[in-house]
Amino acid sequence: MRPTQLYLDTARLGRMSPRAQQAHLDFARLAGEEGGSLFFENFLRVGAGDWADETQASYPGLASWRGVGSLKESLRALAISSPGLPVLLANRSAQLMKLAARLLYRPCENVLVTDLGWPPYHDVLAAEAARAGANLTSVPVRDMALHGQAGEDEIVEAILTNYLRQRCDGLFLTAVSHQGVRQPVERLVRSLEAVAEPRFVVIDGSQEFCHVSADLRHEYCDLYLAGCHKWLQAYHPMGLAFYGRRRSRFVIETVLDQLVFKGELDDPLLRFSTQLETDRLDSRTETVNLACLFSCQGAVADALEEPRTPSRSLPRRLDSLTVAAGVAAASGWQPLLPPPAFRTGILLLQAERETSRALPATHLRHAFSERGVALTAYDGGVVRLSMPAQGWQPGELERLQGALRAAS
Amino acid sequence: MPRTLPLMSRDDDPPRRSALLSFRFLGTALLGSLVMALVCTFGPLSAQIAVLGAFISILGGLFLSYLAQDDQRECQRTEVIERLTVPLSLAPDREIYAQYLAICQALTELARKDDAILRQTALLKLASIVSQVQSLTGGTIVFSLTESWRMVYEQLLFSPDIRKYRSVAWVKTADYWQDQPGRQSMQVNFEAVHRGVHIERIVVLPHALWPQGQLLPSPDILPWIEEQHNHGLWLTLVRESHLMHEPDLLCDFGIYGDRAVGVQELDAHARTLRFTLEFSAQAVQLAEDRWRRISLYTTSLRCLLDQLPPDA
Repeated sequence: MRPTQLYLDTARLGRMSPRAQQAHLDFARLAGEEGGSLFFENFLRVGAGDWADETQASYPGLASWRGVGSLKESLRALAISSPGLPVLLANRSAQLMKLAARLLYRPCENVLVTDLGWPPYHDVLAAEAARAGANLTSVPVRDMALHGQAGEDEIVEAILTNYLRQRCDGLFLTAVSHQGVRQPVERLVRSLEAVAEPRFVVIDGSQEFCHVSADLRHEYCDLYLAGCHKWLQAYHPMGLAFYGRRRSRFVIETVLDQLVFKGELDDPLLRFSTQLETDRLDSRTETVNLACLFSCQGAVADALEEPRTPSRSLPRRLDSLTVAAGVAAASGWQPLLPPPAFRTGILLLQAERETSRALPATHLRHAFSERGVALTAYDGGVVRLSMPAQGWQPGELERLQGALRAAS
Repeated sequence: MPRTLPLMSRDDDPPRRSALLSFRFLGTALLGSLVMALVCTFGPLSAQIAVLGAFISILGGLFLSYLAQDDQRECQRTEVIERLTVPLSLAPDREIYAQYLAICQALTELARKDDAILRQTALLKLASIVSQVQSLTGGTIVFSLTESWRMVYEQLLFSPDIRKYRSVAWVKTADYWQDQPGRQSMQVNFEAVHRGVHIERIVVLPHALWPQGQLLPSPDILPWIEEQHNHGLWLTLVRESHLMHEPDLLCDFGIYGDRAVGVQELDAHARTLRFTLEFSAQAVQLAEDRWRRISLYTTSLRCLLDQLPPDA
């Protein structure tokens, strides 16, 4: 097995950003020095602001830590979310998805999803629907979008028609699918609001956050789910849930409190981070892995720096995608390109040769890995490439072309 | 040690003597034969025929009278069996049968009392009870001047087959459901919604609690409405004045799945005057129709909250 020369697998797990690495290393050293001392607890609560210059210089990766509240402010800045709306942090995204499902099926009897969603999340919704004796309606739009059979207007119309025909009253939409198709979620919600009244709207922004744009300033959804280990590049998994609207703030808080109180939602970081923020730590809190908080803080600092912000990096990723699609087409791979409005920094390619299509996904992934390229492979001869934020560097396209030819 | 019960055997029955050997038959037959023998010996042919005719007529009369008596006995037997059908049809339902027996026993004891005033009062009370039982038979339960209906309400919201509960709360004063039983019922709502029951409530408000021109209801009632909203109930609001021209829509009722409808009537202090619970598909259908008509006038609380200024 060779080390990776070209990393194109950010959609699965992003490489740790430089400041996240620094924060992680310094946190490990601080843990080695301080363990669970009062000094450490104070640092955790209020940050390194009152550290002596010498101490700050010893732990540069942690010097910008100012407590959980400050981290949440930075995250809100990344998502362009209103300052007054809370953010939830959790060790496991699945727990936040469980909360979202519960919130959806309280006021809603029929929640609409599209087949662009992440199947495990749809399973959570289906289980909650069964519990509540409600429905989950799935609208097929993937083929329309992925094979260029329809434009944005047609997709919006298809979803709108199904929403009304099936008498749906809630929405769970995926902003960017794991196959790289971008859905016009805000436009969809606004169009629906004009003719019906969605009772609760949840957006899965796992592939959108820090990649395309998570612009929550217009309060179009009630809850927005995201994570830190993909495009934010914090590496350590940590689930994020942004409250999207003022009107549903207390609904979310009430339901969250109920679920935590009844033990139906059990995530140590979710509880601990809220206690840290409000400075109300109780003695019964279980020991929580905090490494993800500091790597996240480092990654956020990197992501907020101008060249890496989604607004700056997305055009470069899209350019890279066009170039890569051309290279792939000349190397025995068919690019599965959606119309420009649906494109993101994720490119799907399908092998043209039948023998390559018959290869299991693991074989395909290994074939690329042997040529120094990391990507995601699927059965049916399909690979997923995440475009680099800085555009193609010298030699990278040649390496990719070589790998594509060899694996075709 | 296993015990064997003695078997019932036909051999154990006392032996039945043949009718031919009974005194009634032998005596009558011998007497009749003796008379006929004497008539045949000493009387002319016409006398013999006359006596024979008389005997045959007597026999015919006896047979017909036996048939009449047998008919009467059959009627009496049928009547007795019919009286037994009530306990027989109730017997499989132990709980109701126990009540039936208790009532029968009490009535039997009552029948033995000979005080005229007691009897008259008892008959009046019994007539009222009969009316209530007949109402129950039609699927209707009426609770008057009591909050005990809330126990049935709780049972309904906790029944596994109730997945949806729609209610119209006609709030005439800020006291609505603010007393202890009311607050307890609201907790039952919250528990139900947590278990997955879908609850929708239309709140009908008078001008005093939602003045014209104000975006949201007054602070006297708003916390009660917001608390429900925060627990995930779907709340819509309508001004009482908007329903004035359709007075049949001004009503406080709840639809429990497709099982029952409850109608609440309150006094000026929001205490229950009467709560009528109807378990019938027809009542549910009528209530659903009324619900749809009221919904035409409502606005969701979420929609109103969206219109609040950002700093509110």
